Amino acid sequence: METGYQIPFTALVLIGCMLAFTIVTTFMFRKQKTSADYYLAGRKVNSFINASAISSDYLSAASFLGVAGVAFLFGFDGIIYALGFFVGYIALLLFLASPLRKFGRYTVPDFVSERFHSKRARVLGVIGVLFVSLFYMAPQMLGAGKVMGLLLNLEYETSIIIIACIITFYVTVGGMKATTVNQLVQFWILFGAMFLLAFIPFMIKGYTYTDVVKFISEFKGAEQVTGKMFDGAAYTSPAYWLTSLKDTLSLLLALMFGTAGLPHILVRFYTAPDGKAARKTVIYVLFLIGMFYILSPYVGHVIRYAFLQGEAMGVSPHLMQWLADNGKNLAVPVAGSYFGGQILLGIVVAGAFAAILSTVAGLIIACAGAIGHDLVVNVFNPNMPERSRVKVARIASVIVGLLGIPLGFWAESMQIAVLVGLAFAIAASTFFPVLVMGVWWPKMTKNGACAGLITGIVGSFFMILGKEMLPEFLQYKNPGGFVMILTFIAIYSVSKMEYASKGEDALPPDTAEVMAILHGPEKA
Amino acid sequence: MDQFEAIRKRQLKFALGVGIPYFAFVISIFLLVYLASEAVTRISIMGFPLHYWLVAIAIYPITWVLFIWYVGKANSMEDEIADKVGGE
Repeated sequence: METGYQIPFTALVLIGCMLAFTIVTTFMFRKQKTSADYYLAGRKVNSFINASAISSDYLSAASFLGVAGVAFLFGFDGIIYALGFFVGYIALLLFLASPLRKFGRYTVPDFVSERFHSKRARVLGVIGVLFVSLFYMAPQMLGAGKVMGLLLNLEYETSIIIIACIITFYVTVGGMKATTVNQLVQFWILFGAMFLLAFIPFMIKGYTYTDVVKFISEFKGAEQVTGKMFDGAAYTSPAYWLTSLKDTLSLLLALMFGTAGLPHILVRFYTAPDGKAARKTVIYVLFLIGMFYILSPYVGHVIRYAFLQGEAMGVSPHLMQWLADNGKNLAVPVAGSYFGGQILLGIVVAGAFAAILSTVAGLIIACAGAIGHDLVVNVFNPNMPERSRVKVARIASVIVGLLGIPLGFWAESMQIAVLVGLAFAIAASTFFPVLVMGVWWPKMTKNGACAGLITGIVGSFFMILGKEMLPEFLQYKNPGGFVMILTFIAIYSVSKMEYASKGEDALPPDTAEVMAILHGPEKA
Repeated sequence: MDQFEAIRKRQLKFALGVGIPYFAFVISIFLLVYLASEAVTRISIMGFPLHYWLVAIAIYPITWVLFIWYVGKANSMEDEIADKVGGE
C-alpha cells in the first residue's frame, strides 16, 4: 500500500450502502417463474422507472469517468463524445423504439431471426451481440479496476476480479427485475455525484464555463508536474485531437447511430408495456442524459483549469501527480477530492461504481439473452422447458460476467471513452443498419440481412483490431461511420440482387403481416 | 394489407421528415465548426465561444423541444391509426 495513503471511509460507507441495497433487492426478486421475467422483468416496467434504468444502463464508466476524461485530455474535441452519446438516442426514438416493442421479442437476434426466418441470421446476431457487448464491457472493467484501486489502494487485477464477482452474483440471482431496481437507484447516485461535481465549482467557487474556457484558451506554457508544453488556444479549438475530417465524421456517425444498435439498450425497450410507453421512455431518457452530458464536459474543463494552475489553486502535489498519470480516466474522482475532500470523493467513487455496476449488469443480461435464449434454446433445444430456460439464463450470466475479468486485464492501458466509442462503432455498423432496414423496408431479404451482419461484424473487426494492416486511407480513429455505410450498401445491393433473381419468393412469406405488427396499432 | 402499407409509409415519412433535417443540422454544426474553425472560434456570445455554445449547450434544449413535439405527434398519429383500423 502507498505510504501515507488514507482510505476514504465515506466512499466505503456509501458503496457499502449501495451493495447492501443491491443484495436486498437481488434476494427480493430472486424468484423468476419464466424466462420473460428473467430477461424482461415481465414487460411491466413504467416509463419513468425504465427511463432511469436505461439512463443508468447507458451512463456507463465511459460517460461518468470517460466524457469528463476526454474533455480534460482533448478539450473541445472531447465534447464530441458527449454530444454523440446524447444524439444517439434520436435515431432510436425515430426509427426503432416503438416498432421493436410492438414486435415483442426478447433480444436483437430474436428480431432478425423471426423477421427473416433464418437461424443463420440468429447466430450472426448472437456473434454481433457478444462482439458489441464484450467490447463495451472491457472499458467498464477498466473503470472499475482504476476506481477500486483508487479507493482501496488495491492492485488493478484484484479490483477487476472483485467487481466481476459482485456483478455476476447480483445479475445471476436477480435477473432483469433486480437489475432494473438497482439501476434506478444507481442512476440517481451517479447523476447526483455529477451534479455536485459541477455545482460546487460553478455555484460555490464561481468558476463559470466562460471563465474556465477563457483562462484555458489564453494559457500557453509548460504544464506543472509533466513539464509538457500546453497550447490552450489549440485545446479549446476544434481539431486539437481530431485532426482529420474523415475521423471526425466517422466518429460522429458511430456515436449518433451506435446507440440504436446497442443490445443492452435495445433489450430495455422490450420491457416497456407498449410502443407508446417506449417512445415516452426515450423522452425521459433524453432529459436525464442531456443534463448529464451538459455537466460532464464542463467538469473536464474545470479539472484542466485546476491542473494548469496547480499549487496556485491549492491542488495538492498528490492530486497533480494523479492527474498527470491517470487524468484520462480518473479526472472525475480527482475533481471530487479537490472540490469536496473525502466526502465528495466518496460520493463520486460511489457514482462511478453505480455507473459501472448498472452498465455491466445490463451487458450481462443482453449477452446472457444472446447465449441462453438465442443460441442454446432457439438454435439447439427449442423444446426446453421454462424452468430449464431460467437455469440456462443464469449459467450464461455467470459465464459472461466472469469473462469481464480477462477483458479488464486487456483494457488496462486504454482510455475509457475511446474504447466505448469503438463498441459504438461495432453497434452502428452491425445492428443499426440491419434493424432500421428490417423494420422499415419490406423488400429486405434474408440474405440481405446476413450480408449486412457479416459486413458489420467483419468490417469493424478488421478496422478496429487489424487497423495496422490496412492502408492509411482506411485507418480511422473510429471506423463506425465508414463501416455503417458499407453495411447499408451491402444490405441494399444483396437484397436487390436477390429480389431481381427470385422476385417475391426472395422475401419472407409473412412480410406483410410482420410489417402490420411493426407499424399497425397494438392489440389490447 | 394495403392499408398497413399506407400506414408504414406515413410513419416513415414523418420519421424521416423530422430525422433528416435534425441529423443534417447536427452534422452541419460539426462541419461548420471544423471547416470554418478560425472564423467560428473568433465569435463569442456573452463571452462564451460560439463553437462551445453550439456543441456543448444549445443542441440539448433544441433537441428536447423538438422531440417532445415529435413524441406527442407520433403518439397521436398512432391513436388516429388505431381508431381508423379499429373502426373498419
